Amino acid sequence: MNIEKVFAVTRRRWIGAFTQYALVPEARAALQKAGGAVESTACSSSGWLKSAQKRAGILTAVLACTLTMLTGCRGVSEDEQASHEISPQQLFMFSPLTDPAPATGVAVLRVNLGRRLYYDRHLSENASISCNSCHDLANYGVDPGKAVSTGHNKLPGGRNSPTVYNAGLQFVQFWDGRAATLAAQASGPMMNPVEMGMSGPDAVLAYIHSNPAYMRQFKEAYPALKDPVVMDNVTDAIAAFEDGLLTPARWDKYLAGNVNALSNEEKKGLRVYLDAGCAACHAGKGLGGNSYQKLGVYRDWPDQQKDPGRFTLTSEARDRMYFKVPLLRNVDRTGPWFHDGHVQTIQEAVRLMGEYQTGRKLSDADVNLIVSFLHSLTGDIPQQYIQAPSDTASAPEAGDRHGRWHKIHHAMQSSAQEGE
Amino acid sequence: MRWIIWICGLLIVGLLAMQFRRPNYDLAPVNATATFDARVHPGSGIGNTLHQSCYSCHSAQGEIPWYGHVWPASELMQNDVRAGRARLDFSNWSNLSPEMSRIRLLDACRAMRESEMPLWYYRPMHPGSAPKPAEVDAFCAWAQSQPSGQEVAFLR
Repeated sequence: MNIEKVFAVTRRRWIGAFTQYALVPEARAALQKAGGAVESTACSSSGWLKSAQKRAGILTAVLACTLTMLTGCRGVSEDEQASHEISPQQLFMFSPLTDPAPATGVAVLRVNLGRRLYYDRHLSENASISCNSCHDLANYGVDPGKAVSTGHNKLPGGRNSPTVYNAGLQFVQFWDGRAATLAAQASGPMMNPVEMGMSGPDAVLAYIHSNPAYMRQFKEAYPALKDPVVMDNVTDAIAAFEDGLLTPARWDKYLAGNVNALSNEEKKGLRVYLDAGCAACHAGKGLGGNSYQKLGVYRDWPDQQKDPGRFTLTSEARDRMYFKVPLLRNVDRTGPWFHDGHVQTIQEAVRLMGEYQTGRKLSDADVNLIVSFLHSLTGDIPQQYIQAPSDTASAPEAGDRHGRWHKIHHAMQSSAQEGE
Repeated sequence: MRWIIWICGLLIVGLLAMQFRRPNYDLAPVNATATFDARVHPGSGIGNTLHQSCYSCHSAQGEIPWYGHVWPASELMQNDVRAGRARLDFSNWSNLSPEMSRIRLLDACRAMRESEMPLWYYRPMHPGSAPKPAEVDAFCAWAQSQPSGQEVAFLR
């Protein structure tokens, strides 16, 4: 056992606990102001001592220094003293996102087809909404400002619309992970009576059969198939398009070695993020999207009856209040937050996470630092990639479309019956 | 002298009263197919190291000792188990993607390398819980070999 390391860890915990729960908030503010991060306090740093004495009295300062001395000043490493620099050892749980490689061959055709389907409002029962209606690509893939989106019949959805950007990084889709892949996810809203409300795959395929341009695109994108207009290809094309919705950010440049990609404020925020334990769940390439976690670890999350998470899906007690951990990429642009969209500010979202998930009452200063760091996760919207095809930007009258569909659908059924 | 007796008496009564505060270790029935052993198949060597060093706090499969039901030890232990399972739960490994599975294992490696885990006050009460350096090395090498994710040079 390395006793120095044990002491260093213990010292960090004691001082962290002390500064976290100190009864004198002024002393805490003084410590943070002086060091940026509480771990960087050392016996030699007299500046913060004076400040703490001024603001909170000598007792607080003596207690802080005593704790530090008790557990050994030698345990403070270089990177800990430089409060805004993060050692690479602390970043091993992250990996950078790079720009997607340009698609080639039929992949391009599938992406183009998927883009067109994504924007097509004809894929809803009354031709009023498309995928983009609730996952607005111009607004970071969410329905901005809405706790839950409204479907084709103006009924509210059950959960907040998650961003579609970087969704391909997730290990499962939907808040409860009920779809294993983007393609499996894509058909869900189309058939959901509250969302797009299509009566079934036949209705979707009937519409596509009615559109010569689509027929041509499907044949080109899936040339090996005799009948490429099948539901699996509809969802495959949408998934191919969504796979390219990636938003590398300054954070990725930082991970790749550019230490200037983050401001000092953001680096301080990263340190608080790591020390607070946020990375226990929000790690990996997407900073989330790679595990299920219980919402409400240290305190019971309110309103559990309304939405118990994966329990709705599995009926297993161990899944009660478990949700897929959302991605943090672009999180400052994807509000309102949480599965029910009840939180209106990102500061409040961070504060709640501290309280419910890590058992810490984060100070306003810590919350703001973490939010600063979260800003560095926001990438640019790929404007060229998301440009909607001109012929899917508007929908025709629902009555016209329905009349055509039903004729075609009826004709397809008749021919199938004749074939039998 | 009498006031000392009063204070001691009050403390004892308070201590006894606190025993009615029962701990909740959230030991829900374990789904055998969701455990770390079932999902990752670590082999007996790695598996034994983890069972011995980690499972008390990091799973629903640990045994709670008698003092874990006596306040104030129960309060401390309950908090440790809750915090431990929030960060690493060997009973619910199916909740993790391969990427997060590897991250959790590498973090466990880091914590053991830095003697952060098992907790210093846990070790005297559980002799033999602290893994030997060779066991830590074997575990880290195995964790590093798990699929997905980036290469982590510093752990080699």
